[in-house]
Amino acid sequence: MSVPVRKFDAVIVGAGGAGLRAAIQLSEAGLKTAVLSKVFPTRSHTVAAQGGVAASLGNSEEDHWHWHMYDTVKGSDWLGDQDAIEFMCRKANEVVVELEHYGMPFDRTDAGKIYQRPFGGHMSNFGEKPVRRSCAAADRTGHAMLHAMYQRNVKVNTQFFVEWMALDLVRDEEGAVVGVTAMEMETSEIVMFHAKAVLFATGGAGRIFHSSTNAFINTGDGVGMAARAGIPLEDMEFWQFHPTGVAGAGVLITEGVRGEGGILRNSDKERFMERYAPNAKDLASRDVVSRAMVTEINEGRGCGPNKDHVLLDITHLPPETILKRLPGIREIAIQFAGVDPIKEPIPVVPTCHYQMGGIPTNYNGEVVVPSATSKSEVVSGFYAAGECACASVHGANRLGTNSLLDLLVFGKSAGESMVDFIKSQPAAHRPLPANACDFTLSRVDRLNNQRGGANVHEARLAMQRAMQKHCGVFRFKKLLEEGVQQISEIAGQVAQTEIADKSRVFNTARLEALELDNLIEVAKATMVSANARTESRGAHVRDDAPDTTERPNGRDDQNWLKHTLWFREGNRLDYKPVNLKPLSVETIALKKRAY
Amino acid sequence: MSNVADDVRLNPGRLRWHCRRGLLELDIALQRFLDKHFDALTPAQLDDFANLLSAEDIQFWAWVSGKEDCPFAEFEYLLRLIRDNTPVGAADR
Ligand SMILES: Cc1cc2nc3c(=O)[nH]c(=O)nc-3n(C[C@H](O)[C@H](O)[C@H](O)COP(=O)(O)OP(=O)(O)OC[C@H]3O[C@@H](n4cnc5c(N)ncnc54)[C@H](O)[C@@H]3O)c2cc1C
Repeated sequence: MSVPVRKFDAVIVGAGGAGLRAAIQLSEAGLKTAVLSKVFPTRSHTVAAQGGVAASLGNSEEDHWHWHMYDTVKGSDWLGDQDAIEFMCRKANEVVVELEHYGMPFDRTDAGKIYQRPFGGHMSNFGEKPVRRSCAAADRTGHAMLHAMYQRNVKVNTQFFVEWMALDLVRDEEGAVVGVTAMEMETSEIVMFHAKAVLFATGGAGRIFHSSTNAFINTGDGVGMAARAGIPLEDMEFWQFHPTGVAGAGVLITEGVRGEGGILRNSDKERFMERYAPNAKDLASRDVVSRAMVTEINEGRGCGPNKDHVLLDITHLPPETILKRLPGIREIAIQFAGVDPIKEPIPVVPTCHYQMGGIPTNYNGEVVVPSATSKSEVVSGFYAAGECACASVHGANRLGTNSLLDLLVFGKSAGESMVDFIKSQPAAHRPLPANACDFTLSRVDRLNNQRGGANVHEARLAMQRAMQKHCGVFRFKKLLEEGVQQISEIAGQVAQTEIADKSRVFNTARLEALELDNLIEVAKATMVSANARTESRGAHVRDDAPDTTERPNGRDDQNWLKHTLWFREGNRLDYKPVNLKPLSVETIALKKRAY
Repeated sequence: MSNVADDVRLNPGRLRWHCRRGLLELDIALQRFLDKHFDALTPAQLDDFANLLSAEDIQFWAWVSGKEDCPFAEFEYLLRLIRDNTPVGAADR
């Protein structure tokens, strides 16, 4: 079958913060740039970010990029690469000021400077006391950011392909990336986007878990496409969880509810946090609270018919307090838990929030893979940025407000690298391999013609339940081992999904089946990587790697101070060293991570 | 009025896809609406729904959650149906 071909200098998959930032760089350099997105750009998940973006501007009090760097390395539990972290923290002021010039309406001080507020984990003077480093635009930072950058792109003639879904990465015989295949949703037509350079900026894959704060579109498409094209995935065992998402829905209940006096209770109505954290109780740190909740559930003291959640109780607060201080939370509880928290407690469960791992890159946004001669060889023509990429600045745990910074800094640096690369190339594109679209066509044909196969909704649910139970916020050796087996069985079902609706115009059933092909790759990578890493570090916490004097917090630097690389072929694992050498300053030496 | 079947703007598949948003809150509320009420909409109502879906996520959620009043009276009945929170198990995505 012949597939239409469209030619561009650069193709960017994803129109969230990372994709839009990179596109500005390319279009401003006069290169012909296409941006593909499943949804209208300003409906990308970046819109959900409220907290702000970190930069050591020092507008509200003294601050320094080196302090920010220290916090980020410590937050990462020393798994972050210190060259990339230095790069990001030093570039922060520049990218935030640029954003201001694109029209971002940041909150301001009386003196007219960008107003800054404190955020967890951001400290002054190398961990001494909290510092005001987060720059926000009221409670709509992500929304304002997308709008400012989308407008800028329209001005510089970026070409948008909205409601197009990229399906596969195309590499030539030498392994160089030469484009992507994509489906136009309105017609189901498949088109080959032939490019000199391709950037993936497809966001996170939080939908692999049953309870997730991520929007439905966060299905890890870029990560899945990369894995299918033979690119390994880095540090996929590291996912950040939030202790209190509404059970069954995932919508976040902010820490503020516990701050106002909310109490967590088990099926015996017991205030169980008193046993786990006698002093801080319900206000203990996120990981302590999450682990206590999972322990209660695992030991049979969960609530509800499936005993799979605990309760967040504010019924003892005066109704006026709830109405006045927590109106948004009351509405969320009513809408998504079906309870009025004035009268009944809210069912909650630890909920997946952010993907630390992803497609391996260096701080120039170039995708790097191991080769015969190097642990980090650049894949010609391939770039990644934002939540789908692993630079790695977040290591084993991300600090709040550092991800919006990540997508500005690495969106820009990836864009710059692409401009340099494209300008260094001959005028003509590298030829497409003869079979460029065969793989995609065969995948879509398989789906269209499958008989007696698995139901997409059921297979996805089985995957999400398995991930939540076997590879959630607190991990157990035996459950992980069983989880590897379960996920591989579910992957077998996913390979045979069947859809009843074969229509061509906006067939959401087909799109969801294609998304599931990506989710399952992320799920496999996560489960296999987590099962193999027998230490606790950052967000990866195992019961068989407890806190001891030799191994503080269960961290085992002797054996595990290294990045995981998962290869789809053969479910194989490899490892590469963490880069502990910053660009210009001294190494931030290993220490126990304690706050 | 044009024939709904021929009007891509009101194509049911297209409107369903436009219920994919950047905010999880809207995804869930709209999925519930799709499962319970969407099939019963008249062509004129589909037209209203298409217009409502063109709202910005933050604004849209402010209307659904009641944080802000929606200034457009023609959306009120749709917002009421979207707020209808009796469960259908739609959160399992
Ligand atoms: C509730 C919530 C609040 C948050 N708050 C903050 C905060 O305050 N500060 C902070 O720093 N971080 C925050 N984060 C994290 C941060 O918002 C995300 O990490 C970041 O927005 C991801 O941006 P991105 O550009 O990588 O991807 P996204 O914004 O998710 O964009 C992905 C893009 O890729 C497109 N796409 C995906 N697959 C395909 C495909 N196959 N074909 C075509 N297009 C495709 C999508 O259409 C979309 O345009 C928050 C996250 C959540 C869930």
